[in-house]
Amino acid sequence: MTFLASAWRSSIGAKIVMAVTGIVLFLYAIAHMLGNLQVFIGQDAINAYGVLLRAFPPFLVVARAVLLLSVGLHIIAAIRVTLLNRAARPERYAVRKAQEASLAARTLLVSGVLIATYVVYHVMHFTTRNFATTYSELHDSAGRHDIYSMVVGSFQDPIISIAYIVAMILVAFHLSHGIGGFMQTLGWTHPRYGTRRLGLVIATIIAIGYIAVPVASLLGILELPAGAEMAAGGH
Amino acid sequence: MKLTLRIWRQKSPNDQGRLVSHQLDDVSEHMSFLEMLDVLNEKLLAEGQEPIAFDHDCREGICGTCSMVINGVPHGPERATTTCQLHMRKFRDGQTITVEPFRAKAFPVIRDLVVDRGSFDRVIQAGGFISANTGGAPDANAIPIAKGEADVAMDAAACIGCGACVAACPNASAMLFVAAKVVHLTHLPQGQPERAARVREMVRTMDAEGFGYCSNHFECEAVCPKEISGRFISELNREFRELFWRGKS
Repeated sequence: MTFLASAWRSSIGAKIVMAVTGIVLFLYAIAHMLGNLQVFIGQDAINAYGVLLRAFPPFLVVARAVLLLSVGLHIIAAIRVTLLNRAARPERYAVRKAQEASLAARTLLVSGVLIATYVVYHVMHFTTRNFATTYSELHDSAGRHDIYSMVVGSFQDPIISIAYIVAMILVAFHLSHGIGGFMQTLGWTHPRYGTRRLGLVIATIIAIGYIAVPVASLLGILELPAGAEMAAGGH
Repeated sequence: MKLTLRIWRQKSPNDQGRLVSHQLDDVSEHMSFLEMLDVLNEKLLAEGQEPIAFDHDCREGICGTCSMVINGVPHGPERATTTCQLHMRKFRDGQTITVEPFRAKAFPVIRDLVVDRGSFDRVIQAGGFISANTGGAPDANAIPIAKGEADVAMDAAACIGCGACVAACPNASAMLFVAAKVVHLTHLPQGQPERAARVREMVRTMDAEGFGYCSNHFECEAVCPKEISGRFISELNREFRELFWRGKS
């Protein structure tokens, strides 16, 4: 364990923690996006997917534990690295001109804090359903929790949709630096192929995948199933 | 050329320090930046004022001694160029130029624009060397080294240790410097026996000296007068990761 402790104390070790936990969250972002996109297949597909996720309870427990641990370590490493970096330059420059660093790179902390805040709200909205909206507690004809109506119904509210879209742009912004960052930190680079643009491309694809759902709900491409509105009304 | 120079003046390490404006009316565009400062110092001396202290040595871009941040960029606006090789033609007549020392906790200011870069020496002492028996120099080609490996080692060895990477880094990290020194020796057979210890000790010393943590901004690469590639940092990370897996970090 001593090597783990000394690795954590080391600058590169702290960066490895940042990178590995970042990868876990990055992979989760992709998996979650693919899960979401099933609303385009239809009500049956996404509702069945919801049942599937909960079919094997230990899976859910482990997945949530890994995610929470990753979020926690990612935040702790971020705070530690930021404080040490501030200490490394006690006196600021009077004039400073960035040459290469992207806006995303320089505002990683800001986007991170905003994303974390949004995630808390998002979990309260869709997972723990603390403030149930009209469509949160419906069931489909097979008796399954009607995720489809909950999602589409919620996103028909422009305020919910816009908040979500803004948050997903922030996620993409954060990832556009983060993807290249973890590849660099873990040494996954190639002399000939750069990683910096790759991050922006992957982050943009992820953002589009997420944003497609609220946009389609607002435009009426995704519609509430017949009866959902009536059921909600009678709730 | 007429210039307004805002230059950091600081009497001693403990002095507060401040930017002081100086006018210079007769600057030739053929002067190097350091020659321009020489002219300013002659003027200050003639006026009975203290000249500006700044580091310089070879004045031909190979020693890495000149160290100043010019208008927010270490070594000034011209890429791949040290301050001594930067010419005044890169500036406009009437321009205001702000000159500051390299700023980092690990590079304390000694006086004006002079900083103590002894931390770099201590990082090198920790592992930036090979141990070899003394005796006659070996034959030049006695140890065959593949062209590709030799090229990488040479590219990394181009580092002159000026510290511009630290000065430019938003986190005052020394990763580009340490990476260049590690990669240089890692790609040569002579560097193999001490490979693991070198990475471990140089990184440990780098941290102990108070340099910041790399967050992949690549500002270092952009200002490096020798154009050391940021991908060497990735290679250092890889070396460190190997130590970690083997429990030697």
